[in-house]
Amino acid sequence: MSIKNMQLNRRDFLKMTGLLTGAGITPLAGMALGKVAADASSRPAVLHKRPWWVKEVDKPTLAEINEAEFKRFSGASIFALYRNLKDERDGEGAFQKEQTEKSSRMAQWMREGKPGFGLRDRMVYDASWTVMRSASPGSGILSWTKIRVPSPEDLGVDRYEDTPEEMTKTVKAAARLYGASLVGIAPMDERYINLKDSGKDVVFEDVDIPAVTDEKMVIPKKMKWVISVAIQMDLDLITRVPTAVGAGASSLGYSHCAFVVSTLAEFIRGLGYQAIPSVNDTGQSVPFAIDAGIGEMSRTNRVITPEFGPAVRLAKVFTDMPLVYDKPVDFGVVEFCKRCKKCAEACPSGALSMSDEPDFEIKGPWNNPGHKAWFDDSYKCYSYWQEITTGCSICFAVCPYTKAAAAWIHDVVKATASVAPFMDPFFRTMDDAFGYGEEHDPEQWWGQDLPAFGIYSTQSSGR
Amino acid sequence: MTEDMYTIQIRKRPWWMWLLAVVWLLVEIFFLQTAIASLWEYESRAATISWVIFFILFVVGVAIWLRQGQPKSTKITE
Repeated sequence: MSIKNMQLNRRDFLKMTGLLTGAGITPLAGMALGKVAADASSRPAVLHKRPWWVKEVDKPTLAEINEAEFKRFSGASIFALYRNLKDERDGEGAFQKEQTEKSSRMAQWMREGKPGFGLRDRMVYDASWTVMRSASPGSGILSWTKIRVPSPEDLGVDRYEDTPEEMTKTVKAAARLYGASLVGIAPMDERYINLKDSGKDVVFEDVDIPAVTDEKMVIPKKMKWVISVAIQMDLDLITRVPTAVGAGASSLGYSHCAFVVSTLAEFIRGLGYQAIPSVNDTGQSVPFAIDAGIGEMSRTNRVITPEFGPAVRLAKVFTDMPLVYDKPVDFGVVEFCKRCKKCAEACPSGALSMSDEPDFEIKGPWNNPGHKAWFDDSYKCYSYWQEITTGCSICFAVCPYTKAAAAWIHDVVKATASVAPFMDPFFRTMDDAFGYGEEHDPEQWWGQDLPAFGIYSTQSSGR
Repeated sequence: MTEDMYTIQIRKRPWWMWLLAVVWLLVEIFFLQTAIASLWEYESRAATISWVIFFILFVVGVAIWLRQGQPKSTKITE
């Protein structure tokens, strides 16, 4: 290959830098940079090993619950509520008017080729939904019963039996194989399960097999384990929000979720157990993820993970396969969120709480009362989506925990924040000074050297 | 005829200078890594700031090192 025709991608560039440095400048620097190159291209396949600064705790860091008030949630998301709320607040027909204006604005931006909102950008967002939208709770790939995988009986063998520890290892390995960036096990907590989903009652019954009928969705009471998975969102996209192309990070994340939980559920059924795959439906992914040690609750009212910050999509699989529960984690997020507020300041709609401390005051029917949190005003958030014609995710993009994995400084900051909260304001200031969280040029995205799925492979965990 | 005579004093660096030099080297490596990795992360301002810190530390470090290690000569006039 001639030099003229040689094209270097980011990983090759880094590898070369490491080699050159190692050979020419100092052996120590070479080792250091060589490690980065190795991290970027063939990171070690360390399963489930968290950084040392992530401490396991018995109770989640933001777990204050008013037992009398904390009950199963209606399941009413802002997407279902918005139409009526809009008409109530702004008068009859306000929702329809807003939708008409949104459509016309969207078309105008596409015709004009507004950066990040052109037709190809829009299709990144829309086409990324394909897998997720091919299914609905209880049907298609999100079926609550076996789809195609043969059962142990079909194969003439007994179901897979081992110690819970070994079965946990098996399930976690499969979850990683199918694309879970993080996986943890939480106990089933019926309070996290919605009362209704897709217009049907969600009930727990003493049955062997899950069922979805015209009236109800039945979860067997013997399903005491919840496999919580987090799917890393594409950082190259999320740094380009709020645009249509940037919003592809969310829609692609959801499609990845649907793929991961559906294949994982089939894997478990093939071993002879029951499994219910679920993305945003059926129950609240956030509390399960917190109980499973995926991350901590944050000011965005969502989970922040040690590895990917809030830039993950969550999903879960309910199962009767005996597994070992993981513990919640503490790496200083709640304390950091108290002082940082970068997400709330950056939120264009003012949907995120600016209060120093979390509280019990919900902002609307989209919040489930009875627990302490920084509740978000989803109405304001969703209104802004209508304005920009697509999803937003600015709060995810600007969070100081949302970082790529290459620079060591990120781990140093996260580790220090976990043990020395008094440094948090300094880190917030430095995060701004270094330009993190600023929107990247959406047009540049098309010319990049992109990894598969927009992430650095499932093996890397982004580390 | 006057003959100039010099005494040349060879300075031995104290132990703490070596310790500081190691710390300096580690900090330099850290900022060099941050600078290069920030380019990979498409974080141009972070990369620029890291390069600036790296070069300032480099110049200052090298200057202090050379200055401290410079042989000191004293002119002795008879």
